[in-house]
Amino acid sequence: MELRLSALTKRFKDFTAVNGVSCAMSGGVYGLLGINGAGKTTLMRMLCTLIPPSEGEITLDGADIFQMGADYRRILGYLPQDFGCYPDFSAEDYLRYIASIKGLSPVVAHRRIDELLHSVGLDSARKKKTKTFSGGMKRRLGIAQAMLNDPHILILDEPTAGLDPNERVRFRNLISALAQDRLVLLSTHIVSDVEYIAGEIFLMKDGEIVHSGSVRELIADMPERVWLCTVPREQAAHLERDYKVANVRLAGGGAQLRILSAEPPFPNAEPAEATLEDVFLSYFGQTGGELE
Amino acid sequence: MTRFELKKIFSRRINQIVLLIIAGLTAVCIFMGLNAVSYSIPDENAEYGVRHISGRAAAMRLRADAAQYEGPLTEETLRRIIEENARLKSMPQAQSKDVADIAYENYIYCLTQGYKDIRALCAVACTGFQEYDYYALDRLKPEDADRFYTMRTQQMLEWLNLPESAKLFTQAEREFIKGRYEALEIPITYHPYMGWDAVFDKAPTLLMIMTFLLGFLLAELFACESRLKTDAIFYSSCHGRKKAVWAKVKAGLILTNVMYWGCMLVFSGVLLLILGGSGWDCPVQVTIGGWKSLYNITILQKYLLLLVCGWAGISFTALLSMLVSARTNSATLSVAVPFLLIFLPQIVSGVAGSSSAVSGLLGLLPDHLLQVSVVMNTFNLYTLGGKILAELEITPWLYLIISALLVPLVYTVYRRRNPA
Ligand SMILES: Nc1ncnc2c1ncn2[C@@H]1O[C@H](COP(=O)(O)OP(=O)(O)O)[C@@H](O)[C@H]1O
Ligand SMILES: [Mg+2]
Repeated sequence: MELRLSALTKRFKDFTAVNGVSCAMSGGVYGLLGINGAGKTTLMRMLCTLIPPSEGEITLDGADIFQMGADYRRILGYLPQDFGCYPDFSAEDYLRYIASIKGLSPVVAHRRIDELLHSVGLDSARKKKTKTFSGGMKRRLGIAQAMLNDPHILILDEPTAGLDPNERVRFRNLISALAQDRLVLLSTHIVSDVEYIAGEIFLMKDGEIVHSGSVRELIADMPERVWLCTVPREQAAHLERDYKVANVRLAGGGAQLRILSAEPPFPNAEPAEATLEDVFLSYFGQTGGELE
Repeated sequence: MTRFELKKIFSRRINQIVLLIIAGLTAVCIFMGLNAVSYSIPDENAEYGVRHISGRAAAMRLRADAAQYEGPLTEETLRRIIEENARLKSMPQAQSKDVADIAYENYIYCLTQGYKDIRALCAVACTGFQEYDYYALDRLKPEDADRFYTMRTQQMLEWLNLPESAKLFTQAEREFIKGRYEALEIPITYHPYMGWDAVFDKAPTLLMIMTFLLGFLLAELFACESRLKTDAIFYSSCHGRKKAVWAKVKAGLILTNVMYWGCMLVFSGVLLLILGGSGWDCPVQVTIGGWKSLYNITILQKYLLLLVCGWAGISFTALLSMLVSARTNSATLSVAVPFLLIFLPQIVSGVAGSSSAVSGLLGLLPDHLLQVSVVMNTFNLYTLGGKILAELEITPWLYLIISALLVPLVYTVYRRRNPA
């Protein structure tokens, strides 16, 4: 199975949200990493046949997914970034309905719904109306609906957004468990969401994929290096203005800065090992931490 | 899937309330229909010497009183009624005016209830064309009975020859109207028809309010996905651009039809069951609202026509609501559709009067389909392929065809949407 994007472009009036994206995916977890407004959602909506591209095409094993239509959607699971459930449906009814529009037979659906409600931990809430659900519960229900048809292609748009740190960790574990034997594309603006589970990461900026590769490759290809510098506090402010600073730690009368720079910013700066966070800062000029 | 689409609508509290209102409305219309049939009984203890009963008991008493006049409404029967009326009116106390005599007058009135329907018929038949005079019967002489039927055609012809009618009808249309009048089989048959009368009288109210409320329910059907942000998952599902959309259209049609036929059949069924269905085989010309009509049909046929017209009207407004909400995703706009279709033409026709061009155009608007009784008395004619047809011989079929064409259109429009 190969999902290929060729020169994919989406324009809204005079604004280009996705600009000439080309890449190929076969199996495993892919991370789509970029700040808000990078075009991740727009790209994913095209991958789900919700909006047609302005230019370029998306093919699955050579066939255009828009031509495939229902045949493509049959193997697709999608968790939108911002989605609603029918508020007066119970979790169970909601999944039954989605199963029916996904073309599952009632018998298969029944079994699948039991399994999924269990694996996303909504067993006890199955009869509750979805309007009583918390953000985290709703997202887990969203995952369950995406998984109903046991999709070969699973598209998750910012699945951890709005979750508290504990929920986020549980969610990541859930996703890596579900990722077996399928193609998962997960978008996020939070580095730690994809750092450990994605085999390949696409860095998306202003509608373009600026770089891609495994975590190790991205770190290796980083145009800058990471330096640790300990300086008096007064000097810290200067450095923060002149360099990309990933981190400042105050210690005693001084400050320890984590600086991204091609050259050592300081004669006595110590080189340090780069992380994906540093890569994110390098490309996007801001940190991709959870606390944003 | 269709089941879930209906569930989406009716799991919402507000829509459950709308459903209750519709059921209540049907009950109210039945109640009003029953109440409209009244019969007065002399009673010395009651105020003004009469008490009134309504509903089934009244219908039975009226029917018993009218029995002597049932059957072909011949000149002979009419003469009998005129003579009987004159006899009752000329009783000495029937003409004075103090309270005790009001009681006596009421007493006399009680005796006239057997020919109540014929009095009503004379109120339109034995006066100027398109006029109404409740006391017309009182002024008739026995020999006038002979002119009863000839007057109908004669007055119509006089009306057609008025200068202001000249621009309304072509020569062929005049011939057509004349032909229809002459085709009426005389004497017409009379049987008491209070059950049907109640149905015809209250049906437009029921239909109009039902059309609005239905628009309210249907608006939600298509607009809810974008309002609830469920559209991304909907359209990215396997059947999201085919069967699931079809399920919505189907749910809309089921809702429309179940509601329409359910309410109408319950409403008319209950009224007819309680008040009786006699009169079904009389021509509509025997009713006050049908005397001038160029539609030569029986009361039963009028009822069937009313059902078909209502069905066409409500199907059309329902599908147009569905189309608007499928296209715009705005529940507000699609609720406005039935409102515009039903009320606007009435306002326009009120302002424009009955000048030919406008009234011809207005006749083709769907609001007329909900008011069969009124429309049956109008002379809106249309020429179709060289053949002249009356309004209600065209519009119900026209709107049923348009509705049928709207079904695939709604489907296509909604399935092609790209969620915003
Ligand atoms: N339907 C639309 N019409 C116009 N502009 C849009 C539309 N959808 C998205 N955009 C714009 O495209 C850009 C990318 O948006 P989005 O794909 O949501 O980015 P991300 O998911 O990475 O935050 C944003 O600037 C957004 O305003
Ligand atoms: Mg997004």
